[in-house]
Amino acid sequence: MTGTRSPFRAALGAMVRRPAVVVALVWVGLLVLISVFPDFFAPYDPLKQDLSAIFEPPSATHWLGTDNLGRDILSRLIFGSTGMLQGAVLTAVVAVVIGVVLGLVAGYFGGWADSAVSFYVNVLLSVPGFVIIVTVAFISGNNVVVIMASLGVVFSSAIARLVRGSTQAARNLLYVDSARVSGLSTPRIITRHVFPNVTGPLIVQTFLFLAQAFLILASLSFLGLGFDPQSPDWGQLVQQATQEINDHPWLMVPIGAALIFTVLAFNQLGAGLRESLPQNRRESMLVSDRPRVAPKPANLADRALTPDGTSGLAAPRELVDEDLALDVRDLTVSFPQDAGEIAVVDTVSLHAKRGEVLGLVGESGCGKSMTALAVLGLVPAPGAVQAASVSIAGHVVSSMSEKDRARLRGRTIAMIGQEPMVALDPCFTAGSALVEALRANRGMSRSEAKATALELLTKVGIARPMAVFQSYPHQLSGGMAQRVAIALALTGKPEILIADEPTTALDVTIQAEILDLLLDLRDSEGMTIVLVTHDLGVLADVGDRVAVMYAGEIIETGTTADVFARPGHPYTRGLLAAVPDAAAEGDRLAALPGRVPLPRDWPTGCRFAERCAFRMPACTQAPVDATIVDAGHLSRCLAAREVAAISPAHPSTEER
Amino acid sequence: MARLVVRRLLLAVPTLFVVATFSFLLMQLVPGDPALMILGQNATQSQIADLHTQLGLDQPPMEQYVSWLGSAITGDLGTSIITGRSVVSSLSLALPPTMSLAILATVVSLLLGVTFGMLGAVKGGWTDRAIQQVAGVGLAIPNFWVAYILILVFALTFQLFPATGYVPINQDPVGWLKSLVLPVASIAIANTCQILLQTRASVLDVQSRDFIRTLQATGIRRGAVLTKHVLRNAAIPVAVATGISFIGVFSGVVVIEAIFNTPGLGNLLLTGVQGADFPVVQGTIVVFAILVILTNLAVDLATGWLDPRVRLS
Ligand code: SF4
Repeated sequence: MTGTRSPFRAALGAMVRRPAVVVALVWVGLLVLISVFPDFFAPYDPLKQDLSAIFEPPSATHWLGTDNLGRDILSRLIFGSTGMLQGAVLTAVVAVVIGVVLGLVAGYFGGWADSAVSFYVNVLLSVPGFVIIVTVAFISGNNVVVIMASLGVVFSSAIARLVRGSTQAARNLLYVDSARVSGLSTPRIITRHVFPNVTGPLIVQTFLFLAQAFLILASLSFLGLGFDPQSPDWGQLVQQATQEINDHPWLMVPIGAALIFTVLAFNQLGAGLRESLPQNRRESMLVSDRPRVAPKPANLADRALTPDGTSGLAAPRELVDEDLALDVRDLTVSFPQDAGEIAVVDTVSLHAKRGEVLGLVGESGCGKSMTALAVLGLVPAPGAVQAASVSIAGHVVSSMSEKDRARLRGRTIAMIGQEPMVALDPCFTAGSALVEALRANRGMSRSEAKATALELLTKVGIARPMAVFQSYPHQLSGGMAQRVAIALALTGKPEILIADEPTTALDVTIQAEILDLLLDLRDSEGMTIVLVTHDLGVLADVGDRVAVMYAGEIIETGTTADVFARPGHPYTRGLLAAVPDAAAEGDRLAALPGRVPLPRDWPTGCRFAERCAFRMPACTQAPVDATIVDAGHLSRCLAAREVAAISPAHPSTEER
Repeated sequence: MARLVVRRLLLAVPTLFVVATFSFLLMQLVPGDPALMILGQNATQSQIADLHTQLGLDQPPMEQYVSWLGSAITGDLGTSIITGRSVVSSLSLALPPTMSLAILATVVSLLLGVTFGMLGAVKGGWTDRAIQQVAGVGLAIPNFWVAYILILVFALTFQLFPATGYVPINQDPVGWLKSLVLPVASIAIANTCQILLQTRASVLDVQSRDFIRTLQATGIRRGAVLTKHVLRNAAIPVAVATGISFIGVFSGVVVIEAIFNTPGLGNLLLTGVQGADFPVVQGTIVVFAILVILTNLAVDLATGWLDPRVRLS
């Protein structure tokens, strides 16, 4: 957990900023007040009859009118709220207490305790809740306390499930980090590891229960069960209103509104909190067909933009020829945040020749994946992309509509991602995914597509293509799934393949195989590959050129040979030093202390300054411009030449 | 998949057993003498003794239990104290109206809920917020209150549908449908909103998964991504939510059938409770439990059909 505020507190903060939640809070506050002090708030005695003033419409004396016996409706509502709220709160308390205890027991002890609790939950859920409640009303002789407590028992099943899951997760975690060995007592473990995770969902559930309990109580008393028929509880009020519905429909309005507002308010509080909880805020991957037009991000480096768009540290223009597969100039990606528009990629330029492997390197949080997505046009909403120009195989995509761009995806440029296991739709077999893509990209018939799909599977090195063709993603290993993902990317015969950390999630042995496969494909298909990775070591063998990113900027670029031999930026040097040496595995140097600053904290001067051993006073003064280290080898560092002159950072590069 | 179904069915047996045991215990749990509760305080000694024999209360509890359970297993749930009819025949008469209500209400809620839930999630912005707000309010409307509003508007004012009663489908299909419109609507409002919100949440969740990005990067058109992949994946939790709302109908019918005077299971339970008609109450509870278990089984089959991870595990 980073920062000073817990995620739950932050969620509460986000929640109370929603207007609907504020209204709901006010209503619930009011409800609590009037139900605790009905005598103070009600203008009349709820039972006082006045037969000279029956069925009066709302007026200054009776704000909500009077009923068939001339009783003041507002006062009846206020007095009726007491029992309703008490009942609902009792239900929620019983549900939470029983549910938490059972959930903890089931999750912590597992085994038969778990089975017993899940059987309990099963039995409770096997009879419709209201049926149980009506029956309890019957056998308890209409005792409200017993009825509501039973409703709490019914509701406890949901809480037990919730707490059980979380406890189990915490327990499994404990076996790993062995908190018990370090002498923490069980209660401490539970309060530390379980409650922080369940507090939010638990409160959400409690609000939803309060709403449900209100509805069920009202239903019961509407049927004449539960409450004393004399009491003006809310179900009774509806019952009485229905008696005269044809002649005096107004009577239905105040009680209906009170019920609806109350249930709505509790639901809003629950939903408002749920949507503010961190685990429930994920962005859509589906690109919008109408991209957002963004203002200028506040955290961009204040650098002079060159008219030809090379300000983003591309290799000098003389290297640029007509045969560029990828040409990105001054690309910026930004997201709206509380603090305003914030860039996560700041004026980046990149290019790759046909058949070249370009490595895009940096720690996570440097903006390299977002750069790759921007090139594909797949930046998730509400992200916005601006660029001097982006060309893919000669198509200037930066000025295209989303529709035209979508047509290039798959056919001109394709991507494989980091997590092969989640990159494929779990509901469809590998074969049907390939067939679908082939039909979309090559306009094939079903049978042609099937034959081609099997060919592709063979091409990506799958020994039993038919078996994989018929498999669902969950039946494949990570390496196999990645091969399928590569086959999928090949369905449109793309000229450029973006591989975003294609081996990170895989076993070490598989990693080399997948990299070899990519290189083979580059050779056989003449594809350009942009290899996004945090591991410079991967590029040593496969990359032609490298672009190193840090805090949204390209900070060094050049041929792999140059950059590895004479790194011109302290950050690149650090990355190189962190490359694990096969001989000295485990003896990894902690060469890069500290972490990448968040985009909103990017400093004006060199963004690496905070972690840099070479820092000088000038570094933090103004944005750093490019220094030419060698021809085609640039670094965004004031000490670039000095850094490059030091002996190589990584022992194994000496032999090269 | 077959194993999952078998496991569910095996679990259903002890669950039903416990439910049956509890419903048997009802008579033991009531404070005082159940016979007095049925006959009222002015009953004569011989009336009470007769009823004790009829209910088996003159036997030791264990024997009562064994004989009750024995007949329950063979499909004999006793006779109603009030009508003298066999409980099983009352239940079988009450089943069609309740199932009609439950099925129609669920079909309507599923159609509307999925359509508008999907619309909100995909369109986003203003449309989404409006749909969400309406659904939030819909969820908060008490079914018994809205039932009377519907009666007032569509039965009393415009006289489009009958205010109460039920026509069996084999007598008059149109009349059957007309007699169900208002009760179904009363129940379907909240259920629609429930399924709508679940659909919306599932669609948004599926949209945030990695494979959506793969599909787009592979060149699958946005429309196909939505109709084929998002909908299919989102359908899994929606199937679960639909099962929950179907079971919710069985809670709702207790009130709704009373209002519309529908001769269904809910009405049977309520009149049973009001008349202290123990055999009827016990039998209804057992039937409700069977319905819930069957619904859950159907949901399992549906999710298995939709989700290969469940089917092939
Ligand atoms: S500009 Fe200065 S602070 Fe930045 S990397 Fe170079 S030496 Fe370090």
